[in-house]
Amino acid sequence: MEGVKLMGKSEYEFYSIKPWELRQLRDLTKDVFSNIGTEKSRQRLVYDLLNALKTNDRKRFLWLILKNVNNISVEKSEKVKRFAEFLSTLQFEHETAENFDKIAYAIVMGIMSVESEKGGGSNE
Amino acid sequence: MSKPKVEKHVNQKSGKSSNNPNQLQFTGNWFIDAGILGFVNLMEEVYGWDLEKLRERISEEPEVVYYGYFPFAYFYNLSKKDKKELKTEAISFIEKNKELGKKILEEVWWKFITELFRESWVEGKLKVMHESECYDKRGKVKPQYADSRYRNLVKEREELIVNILKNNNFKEKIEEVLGKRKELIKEGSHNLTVDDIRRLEENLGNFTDDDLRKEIENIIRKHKELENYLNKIWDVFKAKNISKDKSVFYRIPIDSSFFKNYLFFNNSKGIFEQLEDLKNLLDGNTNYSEYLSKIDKTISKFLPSDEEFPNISYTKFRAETILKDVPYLFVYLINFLNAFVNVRGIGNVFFYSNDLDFTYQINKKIRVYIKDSDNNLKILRLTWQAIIDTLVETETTWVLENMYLIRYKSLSQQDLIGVEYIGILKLQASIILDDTIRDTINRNIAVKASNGKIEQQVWLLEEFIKQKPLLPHLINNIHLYLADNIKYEGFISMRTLVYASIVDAKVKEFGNDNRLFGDHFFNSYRQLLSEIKNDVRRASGAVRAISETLEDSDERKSYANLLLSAIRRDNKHRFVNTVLKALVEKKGEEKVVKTLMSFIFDKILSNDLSWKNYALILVGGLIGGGEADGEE
Repeated sequence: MEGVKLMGKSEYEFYSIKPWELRQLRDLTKDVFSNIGTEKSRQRLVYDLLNALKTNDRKRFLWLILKNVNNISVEKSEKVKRFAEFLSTLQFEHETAENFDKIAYAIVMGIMSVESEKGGGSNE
Repeated sequence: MSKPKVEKHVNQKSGKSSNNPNQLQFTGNWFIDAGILGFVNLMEEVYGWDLEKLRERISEEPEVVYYGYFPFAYFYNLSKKDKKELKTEAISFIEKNKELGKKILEEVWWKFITELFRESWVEGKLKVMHESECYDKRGKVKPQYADSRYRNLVKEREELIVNILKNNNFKEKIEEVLGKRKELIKEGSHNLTVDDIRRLEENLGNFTDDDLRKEIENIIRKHKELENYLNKIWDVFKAKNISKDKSVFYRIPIDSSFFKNYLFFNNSKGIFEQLEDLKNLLDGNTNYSEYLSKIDKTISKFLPSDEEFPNISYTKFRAETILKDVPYLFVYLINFLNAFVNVRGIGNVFFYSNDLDFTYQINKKIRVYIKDSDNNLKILRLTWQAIIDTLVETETTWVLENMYLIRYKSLSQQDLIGVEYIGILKLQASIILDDTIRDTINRNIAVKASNGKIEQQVWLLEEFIKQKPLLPHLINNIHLYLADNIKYEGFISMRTLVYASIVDAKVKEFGNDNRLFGDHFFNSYRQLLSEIKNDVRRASGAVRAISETLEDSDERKSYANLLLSAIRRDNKHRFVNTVLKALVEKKGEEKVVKTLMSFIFDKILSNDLSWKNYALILVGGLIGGGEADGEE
């Protein structure tokens, strides 16, 4: 029984997103979103995103992110590009619900970090 | 039992030559070692010698110890009689007759061991109420009653009893005194026992009828005559003045409740054979009996039978080879039950490490603790506590890592019931050596309750040592509290929750790292401890943060319920979603939010293996109100 469990686990782990990738994504999200909207609008966005995740509405989640990223100014475009690329790679490579959720929450927490960044603190 | 003394033991042992087969030390076979400890315990109980003293005596005069002191102690223990004077006499005899060497056994046997059993031997013979019991089906005298005078007295006593009971009037009066029970006489055979005769004697004054009283006095007189006769012949035979055909009549009545047929325990063995068996057992004479040629279930119930031994196709497991290194092997083997300590509610336990000194200290400590305590739960805790205390005193980690707890629930039909072996892994050992961690998880927590009454508790430290996961217990405890089934006092303290949860998580993570040359392989266990402390610090910060974010107590409780339900359903993302939403809604102080977010990100979101352990700490934080004290 243990053996089967372990086998399943390692197979899953093979496709599982690594913690350092998640961290990278969170930090990149924070960078990208630090110039988007006001604190209030970001808070709203986070709220909407959390609701989309709760109902497992992936389309809405992506739509909300892309809509916001689309509004960004030109000087940030390089980071946005990387962010979009990162997002698509992760999307294609980690097609499990588990991975999607992890990625999605890392993004949400990235956006939330912007909010708490107002005082000028840096990443831990 | 001070620290220096314990160290002295350890040093002394390692300093002595291990090649001396007379030197008392463990062999590495735990079933033999259990016997060695049992032997040590026995000698300590009877003569008050501690391990050091026993070793000294053995190295000075092994034969006197094994052929003189040991046999007396063994039978003294079996007789369950506290004959202090006889013991003093025996000791002084042995001391004065050391030059006898091995021959001292015979003297001790006839002078002292037999005397230990005088009362039980006499009682056993007195209990025979009917002459017919003395004969087998073919009318031949049974060997255990092979004494005509004895049989005659039994017969005379029987006739007196039958006569009196034939008189209905007398019978009724006797029934009154003895109380209504089964019929006193049936088909000419009476049903009175020795105890009935004693009761009649005690109540003699209650019989007003002179004739009846006289009759009863006659019975009592005859009974006394029988008793005196038995005592008299016991004295005579002790002078070895008996013929061999009465050997079984005089056999000493011994019962170990365990060895039913083993050598001198076997009922067919007469007193001469019993002595012969004992002598050969001490000599380790494998040719004497099959019992002494093999080591199997007959001698130690932890072993399979000779036929069941897994290595049977290669070679039979024979005592001969072991006797070369352990000459008194059988002395130890028949003592293995003495190694176990009876712990109420747990069964009989024996803590085994491959070091005699250490094992001796621990088991001694357990005995002392048990004596001092009458609380069941406490005993359970103290049992493990004894190990830990000894360990802390001696600072010998390696012993703990090689330690086993062996226990059995009961004895039945010469078998051990509910045998369990528990080892302590290096991982667990190194963690409990840390004072803070040990003290913090050294707690009972409620895991089952109904109507506010606690029905079951677990001791976290024990579960941990037994390598059982702590998380389910922690979840249960918090669930009980949230469901109003236990009061706040029954709720785990925040500090214990944080430590227990993280230690449990770390053990899980450690076990998951199964790469042979993974980081943990080289980083050793020390790193693990610092990781635990580091996580405790972070978790305590997170607990403070969440309790600052949610201040209203009703709100906290409702969040705690939601979050606990996510944990119990193994739904990490629901958990994260709920906490994040609360953070967005509450808009806490920036620093607070940051601490919490970073904890959730690293320990929950990115952590598939042990996220629940960390998540549960946050739930505890909501109920406990940020009392977590992460600083040591």
